[in-house]
Amino acid sequence: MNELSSKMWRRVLAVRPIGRGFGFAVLEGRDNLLDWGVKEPKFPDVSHSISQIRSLTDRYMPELLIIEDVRTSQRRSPKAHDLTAQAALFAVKEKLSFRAVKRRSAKQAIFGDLKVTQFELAKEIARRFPQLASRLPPPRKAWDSQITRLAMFEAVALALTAFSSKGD
Amino acid sequence: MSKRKLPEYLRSYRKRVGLSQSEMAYLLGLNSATSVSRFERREQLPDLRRAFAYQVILSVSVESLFAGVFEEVKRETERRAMVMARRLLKKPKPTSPHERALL
Repeated sequence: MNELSSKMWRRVLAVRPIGRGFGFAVLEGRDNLLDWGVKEPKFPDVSHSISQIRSLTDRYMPELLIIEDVRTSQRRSPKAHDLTAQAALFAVKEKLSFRAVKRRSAKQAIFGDLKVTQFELAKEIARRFPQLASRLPPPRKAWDSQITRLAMFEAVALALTAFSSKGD
Repeated sequence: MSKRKLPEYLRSYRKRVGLSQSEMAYLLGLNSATSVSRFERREQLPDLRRAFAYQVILSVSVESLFAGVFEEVKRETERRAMVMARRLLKKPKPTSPHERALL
């Protein structure tokens, strides 16, 4: 996908696919976090996730939809791949600017360094946006399963790439 | 997609301070969270007293809370003022202090 341009976006919706749903964040400018959370539709079909993305775009009227680029990742589930593809189609139909951004780009945009854990990323996001601090999970141990709500922190990181000069 | 402000930012500010819809409803003097939900879904605008209550609870001006609505009202009012100004310019001379101020 294309590099993020240096265009000044007003409002951005970022989506980070997980298991059955996605983490999301809406930013209006670099410092104004409008909404955040994790959506896990009752039904696992991707169309339900798209329906929830539509609700978010109706509410927040973003100029740009960012989704995590999972195309080259073999570790991500088929659902994540499917959601990325469906989100791209949705954006085209809605005439919404769309970018698929790799997680490494989000890490670079925030840290300038790729060697940071999910938890460290979440901690930095919570530092920048204190309203997220109460949602910060404890550091994950090797035997713990993935913590779903980390996805919202990663969505914030994806959204921040729209306001960074560094692209994909 | 619009580059304008959103009509309102009630949900954003409420989440920012960590209040649930039920808690917000109580603070606003409402019986249930249903009205808060309607305000946040833009199905209904709160009345003036509730709008001021929002300002007190969230420490954000009504203008900022309803930024998009304010921008729209401002545009429409300024447009009407321009129309009035043009009409007044066609008159022989301004007749009232208000008309003179407008010109």
